[in-house]
Amino acid sequence: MPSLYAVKTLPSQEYFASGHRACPGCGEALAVRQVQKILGRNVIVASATGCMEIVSSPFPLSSWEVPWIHVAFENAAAVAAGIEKGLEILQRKGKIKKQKITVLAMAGDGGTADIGLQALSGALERRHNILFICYDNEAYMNTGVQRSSSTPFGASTTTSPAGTHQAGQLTPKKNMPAIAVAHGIPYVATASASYPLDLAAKVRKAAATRGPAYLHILSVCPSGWGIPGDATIKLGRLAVQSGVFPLYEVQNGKYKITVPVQELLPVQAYFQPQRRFRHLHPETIEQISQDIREKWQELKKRSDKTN
Amino acid sequence: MLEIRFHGRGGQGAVTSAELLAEAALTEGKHAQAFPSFGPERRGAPVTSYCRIDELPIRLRTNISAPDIVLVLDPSLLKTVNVTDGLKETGTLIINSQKGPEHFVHNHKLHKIATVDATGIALQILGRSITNTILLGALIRTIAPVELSSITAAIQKRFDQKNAALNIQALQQAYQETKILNMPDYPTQENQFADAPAATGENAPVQPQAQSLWIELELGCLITNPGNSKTYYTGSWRSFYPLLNKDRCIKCGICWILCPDAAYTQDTEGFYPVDLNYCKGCGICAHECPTGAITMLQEKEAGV
Ligand SMILES: Cc1ncc(C[n+]2csc(CCOP(=O)(O)OP(=O)(O)O)c2C)c(N)n1
Ligand code: SF4
Ligand code: SF4
Ligand code: SF4
Ligand SMILES: [Mg+2]
Repeated sequence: MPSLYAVKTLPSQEYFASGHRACPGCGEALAVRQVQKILGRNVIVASATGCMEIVSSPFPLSSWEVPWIHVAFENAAAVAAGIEKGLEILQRKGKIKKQKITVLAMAGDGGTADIGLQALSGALERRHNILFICYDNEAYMNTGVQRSSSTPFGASTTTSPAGTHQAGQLTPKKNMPAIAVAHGIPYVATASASYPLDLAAKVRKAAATRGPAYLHILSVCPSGWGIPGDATIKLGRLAVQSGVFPLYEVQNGKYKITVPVQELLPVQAYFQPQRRFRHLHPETIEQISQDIREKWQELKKRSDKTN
Repeated sequence: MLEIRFHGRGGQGAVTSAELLAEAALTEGKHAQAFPSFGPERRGAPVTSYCRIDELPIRLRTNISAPDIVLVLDPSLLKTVNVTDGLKETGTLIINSQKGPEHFVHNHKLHKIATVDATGIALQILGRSITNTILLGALIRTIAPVELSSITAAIQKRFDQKNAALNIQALQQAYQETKILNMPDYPTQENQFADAPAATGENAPVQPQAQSLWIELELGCLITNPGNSKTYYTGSWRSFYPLLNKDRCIKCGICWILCPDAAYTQDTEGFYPVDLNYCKGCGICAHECPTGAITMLQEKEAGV
């Protein structure tokens, strides 16, 4: 358990300015703020559309204190790949100074796991020296809570509603970190703004990686999940402590759980405050709980093997 | 054609109001449209919605900039939003407020001003401060663009039985309690009140009205002033604000690192004072402070 005061070691400089229009208590905006603090000044961002693009750039205003490009929904990774190659060539030809510039592509879960997956897979496979961050709030929030392939089983959204015919999302959450790992890239990690120090360490490692790095950040969305704005951090913690969203990293194929959990909390502790899970029957919750425990054991085994 | 503009906050039902009114007009065989102003604004942010009603088909598809009627669902909006912007001289202003309409006479010729304590009625009958249907009661009492019965029918169609009954009860109470000022009967000029709309409250951030008509665009719509969102004060979205008790603060910085709006910065003494220009009042800091040094307090409503 790091000291309470340890967060003071994080940079005081802000690169994601106040005045953005995210909902009160938005966990996605908080994660963006924490990430940019670590990446600092020398970064170029390609941002797929989604909540974070919309709330940070209502023309002619911008919350970005670093070069930032708004790109379409599907091609953040492709644009970042192009920027990275462009920088490399300009530096080689001596047209710009040789220096370390992080090229970041960011997208929501829709922009990552659904429509942006092809561009992402291509960029990872071609070994571009970019960092891709998925801000996963588990649905298409910007357009009003439609399901994505990253929406967890059972969650109610406007296109996977809970009603008499259906009890929310019918399919399991797509395992994006595993897909990234399957590309054999040097660095993959999960993170959460509820654990700012763990997040900062991972962003540092990811930015220092030569070759592609992938970060998957669970981003609590009070509006889409149906929780009060002040519960954002707590929900992020509960997701980790219940095993719903374990914090780990995969460095050159080696798994490591970075925030160990001695005893998983019952998943009900995480579900109960959220409106999107309110309809779930105890049997369904039990079934989900078993699945989570199995996956957690699997992850622990992998992590133990390499440590 | 009658053009009506609703001012509310994201999540308060300003859009529902406009839709119910349009629905009611349609059942009377009139033509109507209802739509929100689309923007990046989220929950708590000031939002506008619009309704047009006419005997003839309506071809206009634009936002309403010169309304005949303005309805203000949330009195705290008067601090930051210029609600009477473009309101016609023959127009009507209807405000959710405990105060009488004479308190809102300002430097603007109008036909009628009306007030109703919609928040009070909402809390009493609905148990929540959702004022959207209630203001419709005041509207019908003041100007009657549609019949009361058409509105109640629209409410019955929209809500389940229990909620429809409660909303109709609240609407009828508002209809009874609305206070109306006929401006032609009212001596103007001499009577200008200090707390007219756009009065500033204690913590009220001043919203820049940077509405220049001509903006020279950079090639590719480049924004060349990084971080200029700081000129937009999201503090006006807030209904609660954090109060710091310095005696309990251990200067740990948790509030600072967990604020989505970067509203905290450390001062020279090591404390973290909040910048109320940006704080949206989410309550994360108060919830996470390890020593309970932060308390969330309700904002005072402007002019109430
Ligand atoms: C090709 C295309 N399809 C649809 C849209 C509309 N659209 C904009 S943002 C968005 C949802 C974004 O969801 P996600 O990527 O999960 O980000 P979030 O808003 O949840 O942060 C959609 C569907 C678009 N801009 N482009
Ligand atoms: S909808 Fe969710 S992710 Fe989007 S701004 Fe609001 S809280 Fe943040
Ligand atoms: S979290 Fe609480 S104790 Fe820590 S700096 Fe903020 S107000 Fe002080
Ligand atoms: S309530 Fe606290 S955490 Fe929320 S915006 Fe205000 S200062 Fe930030
Ligand atoms: Mg999303």
